Amino acid sequence: VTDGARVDRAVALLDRWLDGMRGADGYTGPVVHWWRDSLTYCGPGLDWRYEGIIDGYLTLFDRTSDVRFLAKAKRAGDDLVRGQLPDGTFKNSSFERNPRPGGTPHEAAVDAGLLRLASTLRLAADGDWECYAEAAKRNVDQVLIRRLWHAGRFNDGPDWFVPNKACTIIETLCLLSNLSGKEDYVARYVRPTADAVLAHQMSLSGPLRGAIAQGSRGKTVIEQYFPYYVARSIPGLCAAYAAVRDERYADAALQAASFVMRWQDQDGGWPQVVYSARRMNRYPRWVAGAGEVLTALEALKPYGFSANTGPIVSWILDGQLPSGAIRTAVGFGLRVSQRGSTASPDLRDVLPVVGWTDKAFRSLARLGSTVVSTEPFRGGEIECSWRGQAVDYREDPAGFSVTRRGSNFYRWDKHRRWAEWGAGDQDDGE
Amino acid sequence: VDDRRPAEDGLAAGDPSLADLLALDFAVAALEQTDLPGGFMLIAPTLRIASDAVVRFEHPPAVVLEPGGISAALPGVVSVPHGRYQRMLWAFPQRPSWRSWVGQVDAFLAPGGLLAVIGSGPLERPLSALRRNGSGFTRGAIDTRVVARRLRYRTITRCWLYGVRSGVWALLRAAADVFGRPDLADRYEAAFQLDLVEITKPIVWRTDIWVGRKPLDR
Repeated sequence: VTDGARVDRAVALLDRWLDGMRGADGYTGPVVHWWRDSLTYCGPGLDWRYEGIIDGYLTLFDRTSDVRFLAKAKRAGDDLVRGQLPDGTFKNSSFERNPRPGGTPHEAAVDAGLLRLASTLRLAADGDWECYAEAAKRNVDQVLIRRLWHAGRFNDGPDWFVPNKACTIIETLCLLSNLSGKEDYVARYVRPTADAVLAHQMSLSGPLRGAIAQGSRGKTVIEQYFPYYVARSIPGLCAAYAAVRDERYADAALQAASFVMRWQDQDGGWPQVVYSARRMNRYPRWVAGAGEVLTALEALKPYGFSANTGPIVSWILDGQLPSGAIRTAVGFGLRVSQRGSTASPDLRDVLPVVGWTDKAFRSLARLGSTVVSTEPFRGGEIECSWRGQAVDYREDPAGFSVTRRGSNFYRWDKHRRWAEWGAGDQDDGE
Repeated sequence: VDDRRPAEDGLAAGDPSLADLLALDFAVAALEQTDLPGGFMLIAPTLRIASDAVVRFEHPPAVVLEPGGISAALPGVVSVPHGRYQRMLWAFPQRPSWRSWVGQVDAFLAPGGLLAVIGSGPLERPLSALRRNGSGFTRGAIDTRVVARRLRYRTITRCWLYGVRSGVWALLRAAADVFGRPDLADRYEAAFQLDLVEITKPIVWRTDIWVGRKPLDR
């Protein structure tokens, strides 16, 4: 099987899996993340998963002219329009902190998806574009600018700045400016925000050169450098350069990409986080999320940055599960010890998450040729571990289940908002 | 959201801890998973808690704020309870006022209805004393066993959060922060979160959730 055919099949399986993860109000499922997990709330989440889903389907439409893909992008856009609250936020937009509106950078990422959809539709003379653009604009004006813009930059909380989130906002503002023709979004907000991002980039020579710190609180920089988040910052820096033609932003994007590729492991993946003094927490290593590196490298092509993407593509494709989803990570079970074998996965490694799989989906959608989805759903059972105990994880068309010693201890039915855990100890309340 | 706000400390008094939010998740999940007809009612001690609980319900519950009984002004929420409710969440009943509420809880809950109560356990007071900023929602809440004893509903389930192991991990994490080892702090934070939900009844705990069913003949 050639790489191209493998990518085509992978995208077809991803398309089918994503369809199976839809509920009445949008894309659903549990969330596993570095910061925390949302394993009990599994209802719809109008978060950054929509950025990759919409982008992926628009890419497939662009490449194949198959209107079914455009219809799926519009269906995702409709979820967002329906789920927008009167104050401009989106329902359940906080990913691992769901259910909760006002998630960052999730709402900016949602806006970017809506704006890309609106641009495509406007080009196709589809009058529906305006409702998607209007929803994004409402969020930008009422939430991003009104609530987050403070003291010359977009803050994530009182005096709390997170560069990768700011970069997602920059992307959104540039898209909105292009679509609306209103240059104010760029003139007032993009340059100072990009400057604040640059202030968090390591400029000294050494292994961290080009890395962008995770954030700062007041004047204290949080010296954590996540290759994944550095990669997510790159498209925003490229957008800032394209908008204001300040070469510092293009240079910062190139330096960031050099950092990311410098820290790539031989198997195509990355360590989770690098600290100062050469300390590192390697695990968990993202698999589906590695798609964001491909997306960043794609954004840098016009600037002459070239990298061997083959190992990244293989890393992602090797992580495809029988259901079609891409596994979330490798090494969640080693997160505390940071040592040992990854041969037997942790439950969180193989529990598929729409908000990670979308990142593989949109990056792989650019690489395939044609997409034909004809294979039936194939569920599967995977032996893994949870809190040191052997468990079996299974996905079928109806949901996810985890059994331990033959008895169910976790079950999520795809039409339900909440997963069910095995009954705890019963007692009489005394 | 990709900033790590420490799960237990560093937040302003009254902000939710991770254990508080997990407790709300478990309680609302237990109530929503039953297919009983009729609406939901929520009793909460503060608007902040009510607000964090309300976003978890699929349909807006009637909300009452303890201890004053002032209906919460939350957008889109039914704020005046009337009639009887099949499912009720009593979040963090407060020590000074819970006795005066027990009778009303029983009156508002329909026979056969489900009640979920989130309360605090023996670890709450020492943990509160250790933190300048308080212990999130749990501070001031009573033990759910007291409510269960008073109401004499049939226990459906109980679960516990934040036992001794989580306490040890939290201390190690704090020490790693003090000694400038964010890499270790991140590992201990991961361990803290993983051990937060107790699989079996622990010796001591900070937060617990009790779900009971009201007898049909009451």
